Amino acid sequence: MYGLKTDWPEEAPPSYFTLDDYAGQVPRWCPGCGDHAVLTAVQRLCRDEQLEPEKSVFVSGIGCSSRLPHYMKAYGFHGLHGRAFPVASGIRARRPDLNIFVSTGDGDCCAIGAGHWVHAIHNNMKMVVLLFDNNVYGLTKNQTSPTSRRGQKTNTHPRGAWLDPIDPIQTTLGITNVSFVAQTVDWNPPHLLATVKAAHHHPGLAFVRVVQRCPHFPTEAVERLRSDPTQLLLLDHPDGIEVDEAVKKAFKRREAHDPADLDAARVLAGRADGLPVGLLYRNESADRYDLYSVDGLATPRKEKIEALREELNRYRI
Amino acid sequence: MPGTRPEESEAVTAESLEVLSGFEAIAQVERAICGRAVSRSPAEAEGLALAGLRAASLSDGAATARGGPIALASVSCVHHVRGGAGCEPLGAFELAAASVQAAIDHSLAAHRLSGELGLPGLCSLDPSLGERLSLARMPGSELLADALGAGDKPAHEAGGEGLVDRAQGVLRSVAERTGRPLDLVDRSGDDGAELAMIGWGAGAARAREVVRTLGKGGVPARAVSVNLARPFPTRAVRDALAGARTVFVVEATDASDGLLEHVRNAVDDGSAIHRVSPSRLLATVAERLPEGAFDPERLTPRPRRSDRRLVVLPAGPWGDETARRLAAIMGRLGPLRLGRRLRRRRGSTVLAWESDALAERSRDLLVAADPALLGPRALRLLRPHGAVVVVSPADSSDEFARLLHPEIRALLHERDLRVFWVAPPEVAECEIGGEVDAASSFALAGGALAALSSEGEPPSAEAAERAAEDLEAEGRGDAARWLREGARRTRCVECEALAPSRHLEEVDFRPAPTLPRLPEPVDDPEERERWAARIRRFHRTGRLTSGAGSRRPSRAAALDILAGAAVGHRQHPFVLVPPEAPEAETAARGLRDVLGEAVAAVQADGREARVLLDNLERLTFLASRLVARGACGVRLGRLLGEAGRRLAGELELSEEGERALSDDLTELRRRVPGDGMVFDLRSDMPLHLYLTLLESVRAPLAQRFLKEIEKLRERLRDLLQLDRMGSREGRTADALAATLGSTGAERLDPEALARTLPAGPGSEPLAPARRRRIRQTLRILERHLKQPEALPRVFLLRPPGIRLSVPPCEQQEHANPLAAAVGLFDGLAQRMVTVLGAARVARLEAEGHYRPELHDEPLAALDWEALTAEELNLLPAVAVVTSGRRLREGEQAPLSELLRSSRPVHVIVQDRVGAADEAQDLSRFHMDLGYLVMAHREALAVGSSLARPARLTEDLLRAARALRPAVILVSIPALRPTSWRPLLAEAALQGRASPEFRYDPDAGSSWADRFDLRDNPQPERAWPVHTLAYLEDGVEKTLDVALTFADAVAHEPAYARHLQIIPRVAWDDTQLPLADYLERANPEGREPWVPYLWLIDGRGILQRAVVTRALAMACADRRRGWRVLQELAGYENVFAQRAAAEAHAEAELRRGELVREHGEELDRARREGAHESMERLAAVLMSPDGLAAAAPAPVRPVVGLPAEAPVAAAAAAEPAPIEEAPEEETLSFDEPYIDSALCTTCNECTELNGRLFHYNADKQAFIADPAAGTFAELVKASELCPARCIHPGKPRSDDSTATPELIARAAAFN
Repeated sequence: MYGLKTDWPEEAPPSYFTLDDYAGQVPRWCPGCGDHAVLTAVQRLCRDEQLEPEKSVFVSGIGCSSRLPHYMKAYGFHGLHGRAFPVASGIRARRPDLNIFVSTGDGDCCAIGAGHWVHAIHNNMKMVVLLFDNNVYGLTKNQTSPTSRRGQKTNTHPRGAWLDPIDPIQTTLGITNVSFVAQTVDWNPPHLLATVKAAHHHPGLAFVRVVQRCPHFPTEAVERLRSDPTQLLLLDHPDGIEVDEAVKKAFKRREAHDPADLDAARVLAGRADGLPVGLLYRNESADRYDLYSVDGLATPRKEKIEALREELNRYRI
Repeated sequence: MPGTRPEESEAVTAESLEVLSGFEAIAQVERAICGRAVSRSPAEAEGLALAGLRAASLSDGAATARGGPIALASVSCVHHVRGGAGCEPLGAFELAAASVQAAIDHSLAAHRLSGELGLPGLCSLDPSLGERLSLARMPGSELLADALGAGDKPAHEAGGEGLVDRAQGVLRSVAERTGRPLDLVDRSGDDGAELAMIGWGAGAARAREVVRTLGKGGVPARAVSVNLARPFPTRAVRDALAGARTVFVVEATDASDGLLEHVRNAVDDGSAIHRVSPSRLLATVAERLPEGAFDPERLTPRPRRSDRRLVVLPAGPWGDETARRLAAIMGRLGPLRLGRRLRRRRGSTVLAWESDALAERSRDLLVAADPALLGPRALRLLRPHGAVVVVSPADSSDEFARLLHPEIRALLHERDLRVFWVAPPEVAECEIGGEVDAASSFALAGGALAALSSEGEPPSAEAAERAAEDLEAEGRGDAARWLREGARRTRCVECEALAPSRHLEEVDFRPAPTLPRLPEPVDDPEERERWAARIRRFHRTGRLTSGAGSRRPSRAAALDILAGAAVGHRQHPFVLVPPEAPEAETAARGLRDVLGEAVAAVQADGREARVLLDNLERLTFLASRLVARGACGVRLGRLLGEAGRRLAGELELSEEGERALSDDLTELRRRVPGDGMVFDLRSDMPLHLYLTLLESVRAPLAQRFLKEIEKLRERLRDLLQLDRMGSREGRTADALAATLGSTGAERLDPEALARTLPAGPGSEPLAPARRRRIRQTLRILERHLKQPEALPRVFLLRPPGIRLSVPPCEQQEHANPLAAAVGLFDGLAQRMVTVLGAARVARLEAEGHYRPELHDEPLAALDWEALTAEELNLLPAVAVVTSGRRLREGEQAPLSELLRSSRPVHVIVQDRVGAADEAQDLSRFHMDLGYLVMAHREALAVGSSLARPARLTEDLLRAARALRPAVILVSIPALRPTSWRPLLAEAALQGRASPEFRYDPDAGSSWADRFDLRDNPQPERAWPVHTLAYLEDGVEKTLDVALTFADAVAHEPAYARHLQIIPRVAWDDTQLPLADYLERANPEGREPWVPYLWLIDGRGILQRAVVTRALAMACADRRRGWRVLQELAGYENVFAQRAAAEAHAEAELRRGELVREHGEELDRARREGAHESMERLAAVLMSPDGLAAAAPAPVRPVVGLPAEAPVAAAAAAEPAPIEEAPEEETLSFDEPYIDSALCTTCNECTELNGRLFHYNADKQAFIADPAAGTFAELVKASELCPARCIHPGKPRSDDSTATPELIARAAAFN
């Protein structure tokens, strides 16, 4: 009789991924580097969300930060300098089912990759962008980066940087169709993890700047933020980054900020009295270019060729 | 063993040896060939064959001769006929088997031959051979594939020697593969002997046996077995019998077309040919031989006297004891040798003994404490003709036999083992040495002794008596008593109870029982007043008498009311909108309404559309006529175009008017659902509608499935491609060059690339089993994608006599469509299940979730029952169309079988109301088909009418979506003019001739949810009642008329003989309207009233027509049928009414009690109030200031408040005792610790001392072992930690690194 045989075990047996299942090669970052904290946060995110390793891909350019794909046991693409964004966009366009993470540094993103950065924010294709910002070129031994503070002495500017830095947050907030901008610091792991999780759940491009220190070439700006909690301004809002009260206590200053308010976010980003930490802006209804690009993706090749032929047949030469 | 040729079967491979009865063996072989066992019903087998599968059915000769299943063309269908060879010349050929082994081989050959010819054939096996157990070699899958592989090319060449040659080729081909000789004829014995015997089937088996016997006696003879019974292999037989002087044709029958005639035709060299029956063969041959040449008696085998076996099946610890006891008891009867052969074998104790006293009659004996202990292995320890003794609580042979497994019964029967059972003694009576089971063992011993000494019924107790006497002589009277008791309790099982046919699948071709008939009216001898007598006589007998009015009614008054209301006309023809996504509420709407609304919409847009509006009725009429004359189901857009052209042609319009009409029509077509289908009321409409709706439900699912498997195919290809590219072969220069393409190969050097690419494995290669599985799955999916329409989406079976012009679908006429539907569905489902199973594998493989240990087995056994609802929708739909008449007359059995099978086959029943043949026998109405279907519980049962197209559409849509059996009964009006049809359909519905109902098992958990009767007119009444307005003497009057079944059929000529006009002068009070009469009529029919119908003649004058009792009883039957439905639906439910009455009475009682209590309370309050008032008044008057007494009296407690309430309230008011909070553990900062949640995993500390610092599950540091590091390391780690989450604490007392300076540095982190 129909319905008797209902015990079909089509579902795969339950599996559980641990942190080790996401651990790739042994990280070669210097001890004390903030990159470790970001790596751990990403691995914990994957573990907590039980993201399938074969459904996750990590894309990077060049720099210390860009070694992250090597340390994740998932698909990875260690690309050209500054070209992480277009590669990730391409993956998103053809494989909308994958979880895409972009790890980039202040040089990779804000210098050589600045053009791609702007367009990626504009296209708002779903992915998580982690900007590892330590204000210095650490991999190449202490050169000025676009985010180095004026006066910061480096090998390229022994007397100090001549210009004020680019602020990645202000820049991103200025790009049309921006949908998610958050800022955090590597030395507060709970906040870092909560920020990465919020970014992962965002249905568009989530841009997260992680202010972090370089153990070999520590900059005065980052050290000041790290050693003086009053330099950090925690953005507090029910729609913001959700962290425990105990975590909030680590921040001496708090300020209410509605992440739906873009103008307020821009004002906050420009303030000089402290580094805003938390979610500055979120707009889940912003247009996504990947939704257009995947349209018709499932159409078999034969049908595509047929449609193309039909289209071309309309023209007489 | 019959049919076993061990010396010939040495070369055979891929076969298994099994002991089976003939029919079981055939069933197994057919299962191996066809994928399922032999079908019970030939029609079912035919259904399988229709679905393109091999099929076989096991039937007797008579049944095969009756039916025409074999007459199918292009069917690979083999029937094993039990009736013996030559019973009926059906099928293209017939093979006759002389043994079970031959029958198995014949199955292979017959399937092969059927496949080559494209025609079915017969295999016959004599029942005596079929029921016998034999050791048979069963073909394995390799042998099957080899033997059948080349047989699927229909050649359509049948008859004559051509077929004989082809059959010979096939038989020899099978012989080559099995290693057993098989030809048109088989020879055995001395090939040159002058004495020959020829036979087929059981006759051939006997001939061989006799030839062997003669050979042992020194008489040369040869036996010829004819394998191909039809067409007869004349040449082969002639060759086989060449040189024979005397030929015995072994044949039991004396049919003119029997073997004898064939042999006479074949042998023309003057040989003496005699027919002889198998049982007389040896004696006849012996008589004809020279005296002394052969002595049959000399060859009769004698029974062996010694080395008998006693097998005891132990039950518990007393098995061996029983064996010894039996041996001891039997030892008293003669010398019994034990020792060498006393052993345990597979749980049985085997003894050997020899007893001179019982030598002639003793037999192998098996003793079992329980029937469940009997197994084939134990039974095979016995030689044939042995005996079995079992303790069993049975009352009869049949009951005992039922306790045995069928296989055991068959084995007992085959080996001719006599079976005795001993009724067990009651335990309470057992007093022997405290051993409870000793009584049983002695009873068994008694039974065994009785069995040993018995040749038949009843078992002799002599031996038991002798043994008992010996026991008594030893002073063991109790044992002797149980021994005698055991012998007394022993019964022999009748052989018939063990017949193997009891457990074989028996073919049941019994016709369905005849329908019950209503009692015939009886003559009324009573003679009273003349007119009344004539009317009464007509009412009772239906015979017209001279002088009685014979005018036929022009129209029933109730029908006239319906015609006036034009109930059905507005709904026909109707539009199904849109068929691709039909919604139940708006699916079907009358064409008039659709066009009317569309014209209103055109006008709402500002167009005048005057011409269109004026001629809308005409346009509708033209469209309706087109629909009525054209094919069933046309597109509305097309229909309006044609109707519009005709309308324009009819109207003589000016140029401007024509242009305006054309524009209006264009606008009209824009506003109607142009792709809607328009249906008219005709008998084949429900089927058209059903098929259209079925297509609308299933086509999108099929499309979606195709797209899905296209994607899965790509995914599987990717997997294989990746595997190939990652393999060593994929990295060769040639493979790389192919990958790079011509342009790439020009710019890159594939050779260099092949050398450069790493040799080690990149991705993990696919396991070989997985690769094989993926390739196989891919093949199945690709095959399906190449021919997605290889299987029909809908397969329609119809009986002869129902003509259909339906939309494109596969349809087939069949004598028994309901029985064939099961097989057809199974066959189609089996083919589709292969694809669905492959899709499941593909889904799992694409996600990497396939687990062989989990999925292999279920997928191998996947069948339609394990499919999901979505997958079931992808199977080809099987529908059967039949008529209510066929169902009532004899199709109930196959219908019931179909409904019980749960297969989602849908049956559409066209039930014609008012047909002429039904008027002849009104008892036909008695069977409510819907109720019959509902009794099967799991089937969707729907009663619907053409009168209500919207409801009909809804029902058919529900059926189209149902994944269970469904029966849709559609009431079809009798063949009448088109304009009458809506009216007659409505009349049949209202007259309860074909009520609308719906029983949907999916609709809910309660009967009320599943059953629905609401859409019937006035469902709460027995008959719908309408008000007739008429003029009498110029005065308008009204009359309530109930529309009965008689009203609904009154217009049919066939029913005219049941009605007779009553002259107005004869109207009197003894005549009652039919509905009232039915209320009052009693079963005996002795009531003084006669029923009548209200009619209206052509002039609009009311008439009465007396109704025959037969028609009145038919109405009563319809009313009872309707009443059953009403009760099921909850109308006037007696149970509910009783419950309501009881509840009402109870409420009344309670009300009385409350009123009484209230009165008493009121009186008491009044008394107390008056008393208290008086007291207070007196106190005020008597007190000096009056103030104290004026203080309010203490408040009386509220009546009815529980006495505990104040206590509880008080308790609640009291503060709850405060639980002392556990004292917080005092934190100490002396120990080092890490605030792990803040750790950034920077590796500083772990690199400093990996034993002291560890990472936890979140990859954040903690102090694993404080003793594993020094205070200096703790302080250093604290200083290095970017998150400042390491707190070094205070140094241990034994830590030499703890300098004051370090302690001071550590303080900053504590």
